[in-house]
Amino acid sequence: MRDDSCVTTSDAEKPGFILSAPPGQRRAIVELARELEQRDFPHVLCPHEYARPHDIPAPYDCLSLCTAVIQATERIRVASGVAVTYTRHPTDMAAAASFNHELSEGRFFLGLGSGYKSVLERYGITVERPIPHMRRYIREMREAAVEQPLPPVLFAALRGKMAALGWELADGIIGGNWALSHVPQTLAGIPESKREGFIVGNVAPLYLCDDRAEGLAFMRRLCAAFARIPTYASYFAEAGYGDEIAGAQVAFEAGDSRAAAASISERMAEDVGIFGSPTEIQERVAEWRAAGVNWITLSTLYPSKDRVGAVREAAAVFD
Amino acid sequence: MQSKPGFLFYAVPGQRKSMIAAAEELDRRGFPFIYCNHGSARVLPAGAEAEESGVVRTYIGTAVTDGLSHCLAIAMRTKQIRVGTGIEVTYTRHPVEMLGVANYINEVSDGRFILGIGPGHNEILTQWGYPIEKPLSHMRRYTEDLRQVATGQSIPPVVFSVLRSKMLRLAGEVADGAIWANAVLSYLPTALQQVPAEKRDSFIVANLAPCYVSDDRSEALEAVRVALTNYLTLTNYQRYFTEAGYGDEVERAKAAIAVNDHAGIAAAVTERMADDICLYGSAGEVREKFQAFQAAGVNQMCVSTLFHSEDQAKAILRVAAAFD
Repeated sequence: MRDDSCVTTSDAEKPGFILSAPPGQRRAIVELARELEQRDFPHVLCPHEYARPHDIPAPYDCLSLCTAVIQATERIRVASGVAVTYTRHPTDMAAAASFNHELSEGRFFLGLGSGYKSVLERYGITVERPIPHMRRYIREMREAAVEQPLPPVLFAALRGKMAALGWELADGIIGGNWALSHVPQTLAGIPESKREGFIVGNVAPLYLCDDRAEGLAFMRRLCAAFARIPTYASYFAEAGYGDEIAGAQVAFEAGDSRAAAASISERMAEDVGIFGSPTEIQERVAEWRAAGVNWITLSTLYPSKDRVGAVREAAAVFD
Repeated sequence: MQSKPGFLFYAVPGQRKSMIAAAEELDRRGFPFIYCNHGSARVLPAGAEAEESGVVRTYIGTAVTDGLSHCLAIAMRTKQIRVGTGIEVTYTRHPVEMLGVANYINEVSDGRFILGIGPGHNEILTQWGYPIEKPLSHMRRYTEDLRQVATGQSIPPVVFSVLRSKMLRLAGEVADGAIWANAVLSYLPTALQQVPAEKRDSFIVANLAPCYVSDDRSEALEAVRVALTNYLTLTNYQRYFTEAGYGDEVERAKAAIAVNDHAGIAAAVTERMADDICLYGSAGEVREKFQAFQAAGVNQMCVSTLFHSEDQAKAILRVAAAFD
């Protein structure tokens, strides 16, 4: 069943990184993965990204990026973070996952999630309730994997119910933009005594800066944007940030994005984002680990810098 | 004209790395194309007997292997050879997902990728619980959706899997080419009249023909007959072969299917029919037929290697040697 080698000592030393590959940068991103491997980073996570958040119909495929990175590397673990279930039939997902599993010789992890309802509905896709959908999908995918071994599966999870389902059916869970203070509640359905070998991941937004106020402003803008995504709005309300989200929603309704960012408290920005000096970032990553997150992945979201440069700069914090 | 054929690859579990190594070798040796199949790891009952007998293993069935991932992995490791899906089934991926992958492969291959798509086989898709649409309207809609979501992104050449005239006419209208598996040589000139004259120079006409090289022609004939057995169980192929002039063979095959007589299906394939579809016999005979398909209008001629009890890569390289 669960393989203890899924979580290794290197995870306790360095974080992983999000690698996304928009058109025109795909070979460069693969080279970056090779560089991270040489620098002993434990994993990279490839997201199913959209060209403009939730606003354009053509996504950048994460499983292809995983395949390309696997082909170019030898040791680093590679995960989809996450592949959206609705756009591939389970037979197709099984085939692609099995392909990556075989090529990587066990370094690939299939991160799976049901995506955002608001985006999927723009594609004309009828969206089911997440828990029964994921339960059915994983069953069908495993049934379809005839003669094809599958990699470990990680469920995208924000709230406790999906985390518990991941515990029941998968090899780990992976969150995105969790609130650190809310991690115990998210993991409440997973017996602490049995977590060894079970992957608990979170993708945390990172902003490296000497001026803490600059980082705080960035995280406020980022957190405010979650108010527009119903799944996140519900999560943050559950995590104790209902006032912030409600304030941002009202501000967005009025077309005032500056006020929306101002609605986000410093407490919330600090609870979700990792920002500040290299030392502050290292300390914060250690706090996430102490909270039980054994696969910490950093997302560099510098809007004005190139993606390769941003990851390199952030990685240097941990060299 | 090509001096060397392209090859059809299957991403068979357990053989994926060796197939990528074979692709690298074909690239070094100047072979022009690899088409990766959305094949299956399990055979249909009609093919099961053949597999068990160890004669020929074919892959048509219920569990897919991923052709697009295979294309990408090959594209990453090769420099010149063109790589395509031959073919990718539309029903298993939403157009946005298909585009995302196709666009990715096209970029990392520096434009060497060809996206072959088709609606697949009803018999297989219904096993997966798909509501199947009518093929022509489905492919028209799917391609429109694909191009619509490609706003701002480059899109590789799109080729349609075709058998009969109507789908070829649609490919001529909305796609960049057509790809057959098991095209009937004598029927190609008639069929290709469906492609608009102004498109013919640039239109991709690809064919994946069963191939078996052996100096023992009767052994080779037997092998290609068995390879055609699976296709004869599929309704769309029955219709195509009938349209192409092999109605008697199809009727005999149907009679054998009705009584579950697998050997009878293979026996329904006449030598004339096998000759008209397959490349088999000595290396010289295979090369001659390869040229004949090109003379009939195929500009991306590929072979689908049938393999005895040897692995796929070895079988492909053995056939490749006939063209060095």
